[in-house]
Amino acid sequence: MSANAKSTVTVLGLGAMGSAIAERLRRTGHTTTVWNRTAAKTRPHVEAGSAAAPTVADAVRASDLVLVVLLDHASVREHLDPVAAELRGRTVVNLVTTTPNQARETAAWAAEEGIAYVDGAIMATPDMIGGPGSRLLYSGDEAAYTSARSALETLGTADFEGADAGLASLKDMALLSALDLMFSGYVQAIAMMRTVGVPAVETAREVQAWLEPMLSYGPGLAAIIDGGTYDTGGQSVDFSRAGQASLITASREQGISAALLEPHKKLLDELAATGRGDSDWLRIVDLLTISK
Amino acid sequence: MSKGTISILGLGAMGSAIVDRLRESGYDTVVWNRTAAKAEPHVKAGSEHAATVAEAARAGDIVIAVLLDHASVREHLEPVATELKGKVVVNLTTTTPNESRATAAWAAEHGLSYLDGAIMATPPMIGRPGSSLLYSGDENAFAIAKLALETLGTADFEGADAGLASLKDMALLSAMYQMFTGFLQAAAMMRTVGVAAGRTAEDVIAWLSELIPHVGHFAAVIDGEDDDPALRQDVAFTRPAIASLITAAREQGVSSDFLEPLKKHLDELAATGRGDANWISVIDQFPINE
Repeated sequence: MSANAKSTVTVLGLGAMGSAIAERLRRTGHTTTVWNRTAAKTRPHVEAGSAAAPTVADAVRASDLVLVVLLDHASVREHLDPVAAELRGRTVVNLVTTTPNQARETAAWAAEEGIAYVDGAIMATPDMIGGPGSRLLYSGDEAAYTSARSALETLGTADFEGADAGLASLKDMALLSALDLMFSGYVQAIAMMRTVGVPAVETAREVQAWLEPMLSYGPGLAAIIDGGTYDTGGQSVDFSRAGQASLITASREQGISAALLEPHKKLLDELAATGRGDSDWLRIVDLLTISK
Repeated sequence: MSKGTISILGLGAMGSAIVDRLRESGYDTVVWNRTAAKAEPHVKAGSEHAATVAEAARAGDIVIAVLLDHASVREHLEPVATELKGKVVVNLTTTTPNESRATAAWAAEHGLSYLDGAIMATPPMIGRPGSSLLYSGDENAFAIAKLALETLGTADFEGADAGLASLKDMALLSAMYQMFTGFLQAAAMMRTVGVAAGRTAEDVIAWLSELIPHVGHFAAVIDGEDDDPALRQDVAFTRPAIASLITAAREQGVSSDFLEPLKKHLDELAATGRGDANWISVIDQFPINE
């Protein structure tokens, strides 16, 4: 524990997430230096034992490990570019939500400047930081990740995804997409059932009971996708088209938009129109790959 | 001792599974199918074969239709309205809520006891744990047929509006397919960096199973209950978050078509001065006027 107790960490940005991270690091015995654009936000942290730095450069000089928890990609570059010299030889872990290409861009800049760069994605809300369900993904410089790991693990489970700095963000975005689409499924079902007076809470309960066992179908669907032949003899494109059309009609009959359901039907139609009506419906995943 | 006679119209995969199950459960079964050959295995197993729909209708106390679609239901039932009088007609064919209501109205005109059903199971699941069937329409007919119907899977009566079973079925299927498209979106994104769909499935399942139990709170907000500020995410915050998902997909050369409708609903809210609203108010964008 003594090595950990001595490690110092700088946190740039004290929004809800930055604050939760600074607090967690402090509680786990790390010496912390904080910086925030609006200095007033540093006060509770100083009272709790952190040092406040008046400038980003001062904050960077205080620690070997610099955690960035700013607003967005633009603010990362705005605040880090001018202190490249101070960052040289230190490890930067960028926890700001960025797209994979933005992460790669910052990694390329860091490499040019001789800065060890790790990109991170936080799959948790601020109140979850340090708790059992908190999970963070990292990618980029593996040696830098290894050196920062004991500090990072205090925030939540730490997974290193690979040397491509965009990987953590990509996986984060892929999982968030899955989550948001699942949510939109709840919303669609709730909207449909509200037309006959069923409260949202009741529909949500029904949907949950229905979807939880459905999750177990995931590996089976994945095996069909990874197989790549889509000649399963299971649910075909043609069969699914009729099914999806019924869902769209049912929604519209009740006066509810079917906009969320249309893309699925459109992909099935495209497969049918190109002679692949006999394929397993999961072939639609191949149509999601487009040229850039 | 026979538990009664049930006629089954339609011997596709689902119809066949239903006949098998009813026979195993001790019911006398009479089967009819457009292509008579499909009745053969059932006759060998102890069912009776009816040469015509009228004959099947006369033979059963309960007549279960498991036909292709709404059009085939009407095509085959309308000519035998007289034979069906006094029987309980259970329509398990997949139809939309309004199609169910139309058949119920026709049945009422002809003095038939009509029950519309929706099967939330695949044929191999019939009669096994996990098989769930929803019913709506004539409650008395449900009470009469209930024992037989319960052999197929759990039987829930949704209400007197014959469209309710279908509506709930369609609502739940919509939610399921949205969840599956979420998995497909994640799989497509991760495939661009060489991650197999199987690996992504494991990640998605772990992620969603952890979050599903927390979904209830946003439903309470829709019902007008207190909006917990700690869990609140407004439209203005959610729009760029969804935009990032769209950008991330496109950067990797993956379509963002599945995500666009959600973004469009949020944009609509922002454009009409509701950027401060909880993102869940997107549900107010769903009702349409046709």
